[in-house]
Amino acid sequence: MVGKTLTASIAALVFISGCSTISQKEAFESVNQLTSEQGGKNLQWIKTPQEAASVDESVKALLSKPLTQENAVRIMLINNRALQQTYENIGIAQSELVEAGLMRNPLLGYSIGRSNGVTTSTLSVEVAFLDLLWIPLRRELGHLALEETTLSVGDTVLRSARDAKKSYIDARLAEEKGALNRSILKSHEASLQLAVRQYTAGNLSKRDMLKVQESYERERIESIKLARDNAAAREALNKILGLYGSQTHYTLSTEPLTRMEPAVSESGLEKRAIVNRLDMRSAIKSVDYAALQAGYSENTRLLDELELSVESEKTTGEKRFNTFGIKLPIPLFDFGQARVSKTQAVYNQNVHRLYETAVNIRSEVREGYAHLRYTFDIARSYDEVVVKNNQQILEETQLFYNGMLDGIYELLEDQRRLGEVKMEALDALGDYQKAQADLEYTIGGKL
Amino acid sequence: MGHDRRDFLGLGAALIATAALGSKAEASEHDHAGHESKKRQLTLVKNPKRVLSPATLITPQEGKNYNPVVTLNGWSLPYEMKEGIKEFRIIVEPVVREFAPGMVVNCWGYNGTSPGPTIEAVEGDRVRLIVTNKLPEHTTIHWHGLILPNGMDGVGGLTQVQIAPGETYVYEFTLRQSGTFMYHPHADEMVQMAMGCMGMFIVHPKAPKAHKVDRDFCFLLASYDVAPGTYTPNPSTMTEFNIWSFNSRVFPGIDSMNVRVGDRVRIRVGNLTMTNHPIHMHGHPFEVTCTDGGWVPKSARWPEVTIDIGVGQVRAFEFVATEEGDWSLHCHKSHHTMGPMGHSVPNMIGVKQDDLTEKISDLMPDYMYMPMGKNGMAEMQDMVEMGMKIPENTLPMMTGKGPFGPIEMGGMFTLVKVRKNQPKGDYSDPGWYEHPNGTVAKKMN
Repeated sequence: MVGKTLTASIAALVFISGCSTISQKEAFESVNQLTSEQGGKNLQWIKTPQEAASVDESVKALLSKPLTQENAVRIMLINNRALQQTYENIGIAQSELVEAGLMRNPLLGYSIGRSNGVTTSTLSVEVAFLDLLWIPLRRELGHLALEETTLSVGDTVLRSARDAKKSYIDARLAEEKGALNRSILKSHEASLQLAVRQYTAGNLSKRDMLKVQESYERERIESIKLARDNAAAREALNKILGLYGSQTHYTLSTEPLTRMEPAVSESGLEKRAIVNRLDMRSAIKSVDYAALQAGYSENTRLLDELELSVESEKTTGEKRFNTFGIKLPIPLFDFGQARVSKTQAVYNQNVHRLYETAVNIRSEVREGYAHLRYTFDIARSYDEVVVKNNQQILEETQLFYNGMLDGIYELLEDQRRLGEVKMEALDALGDYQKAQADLEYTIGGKL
Repeated sequence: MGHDRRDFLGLGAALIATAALGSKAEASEHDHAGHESKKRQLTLVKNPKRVLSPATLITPQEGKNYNPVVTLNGWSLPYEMKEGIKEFRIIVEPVVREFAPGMVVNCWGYNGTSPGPTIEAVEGDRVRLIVTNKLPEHTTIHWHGLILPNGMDGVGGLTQVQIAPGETYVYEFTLRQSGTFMYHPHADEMVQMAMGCMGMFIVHPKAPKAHKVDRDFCFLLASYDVAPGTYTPNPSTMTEFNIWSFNSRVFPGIDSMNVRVGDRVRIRVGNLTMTNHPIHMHGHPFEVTCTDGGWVPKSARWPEVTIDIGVGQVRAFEFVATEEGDWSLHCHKSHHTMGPMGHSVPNMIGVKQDDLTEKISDLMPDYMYMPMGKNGMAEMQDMVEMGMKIPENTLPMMTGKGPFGPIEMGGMFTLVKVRKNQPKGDYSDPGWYEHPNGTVAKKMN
């Protein structure tokens, strides 16, 4: 019986080594599929210098045009080295899967003894025989682990895409606010020039001139702060896109940031999130894994160290003597119960984590929707009411200026106020866009 | 009908004029509010009377026993004779008054206008004044300067119960003096006068020949605070008024006083603003002949070209129109001959701004910016004439066009037009004066 099993085992070994498991490429392709809805298409895994060069080419081509949000995400997906590190998790999991499918190597022993001119040589082969039985189990675990890794890599891809989108929005806002601020500063400058001339002509007190000057200087400080913010926002974007050197000289697109009214309610979004979220799916796989692991421990608690051995002994002048042996652990001290209860605890832990993840995701969806809804309302109020109002106020002030009912300072002041309100409106629009990126990540798909 | 014929004519003319101007006035209002989608509600009450103060078309006839006054941009209230009593019906109500083309104001007034129609009667007449209150609050009428029984003096709370909204009260008394008087509320005066409740009360002497003049004009000084871009006066303003008016009209919307050379002319001016007004007339010295206290004895009259009219006072002055031409008559406080102006507009006299024009225009690409004030404010009128818009329902600070160019006036300013060929009893506008050769100042070569 033992001989038969040994033959079968050897056949299985041959089969396993001959049949490759799921390849890294396939696993990576499934990440591509998983993330395609959210712009994760055309991921690229840099494994060779050639691939690195091709990514460089693609990045260069994408940066040659004014950078849009979509292209920023594209660059991040192929060029962000943190993401590349994550991709290697697939390699690791895949290797572990291959390893799991391999039987433990047999131990070949040879010993020789001499006494009184008699030589006894012993050749032995020890096979951890039961290991062969556990291979399919281990492979199942390995598959699960690879799937879980794939999902978790996918999740990281989407998370990074969201972060790249948000960094892009921040960079755009900082740049556009800088432009608006330049006009505000110019207006302050005009006020100051007039005040200095009025002062010189004897029409304005020094105090009042200094007040105008002070306002101008404050605005100048404000514009420096904005320049600083702009630099920081741009560097955050550079970092997430993995850009350095001359690559960083790109320009940002000036296409207007859009604002689409979200659906009236969040109904259905929670369900979508539970189905789509890759971290959710990964958590489910973790539970499966823990369950299998617990079963595996249970089944092998006493027998996982069973070993078969064949010994062939030859003593000078004597007939070869073959011995078949078996080693069994005696469950005298360790019944394996500790390992079993530990894996059960791990399993329970994973089940609770799955629940927690589901509850949290549902809450995040509701919160994210409310956030999107409110930021949308704020952004719309800014665009459709507050900015327009200030535009009209400026127009009316122009009439007051024409009638000499107001002076040039009021006119310039209202012009600046319009600029400031436009900056606030930009911030509101940015908040909305970031809320959208957050919610799309949260539900695991496009809104 | 018991109407005196000339009163009937007068009222008829006023109503015809109203009808004639109605469409034009609405059109002009529409133009100014035209950019607003919703038409603005111009009053606190529904269906206010719209008598948009046309130029006076009344040509007074020689009366049986008096020569009627001409109320600038106004009219005299008709009456009915009832058992020997002259009965006047007065309705106090919200009205819309056009102060000049391009500006209408939510006022309170009498019988459709603000100021209300002039009440004219003769010394010794018994008058009955039936007053109906259609204001949203109670009121009374005080007959300013008249000698009458205390209970007819119209001081709410003191001499009578206030007339509640919807109520009608009757005042009745005999006119014991002649001269120039006024009527106005003595209940919530601050608000009601700020809203335009006022009118003149002329009592002609019993003897037609006493104090006889050829032409007799009257008007009230009234000030309002109508913030630029609004329609309703601010009734709590005490000093910062921005509309200075003769009979709630501002130049160039004020009738000129047209006379014939040789006419003896009387101008009666009442002041119901909150400040004094030095009224100055060009071309002729005059004598103050009457106050709200009565006629000034001949021996006490003295020559003037400016008479300061205090708050709550009436002054009548007379002159013989000897000098042909178009003569200014205005308040000598120069800001009272200006339309609304910003009190905090920066002083730009002598400040060069032209080189900043481009910079400021860049900041406001949709706006044609022009620097102002460097050489004074005269450019204001040029700009308005160039079509630069100012806030709705707001008059330019200075305006008016004469035969030689912009007159640059607004507010309390009008003209006395003296002509040789002005027919007797004809009050129509003779147009601009044609100066004889060599009588106009000219540039020195």
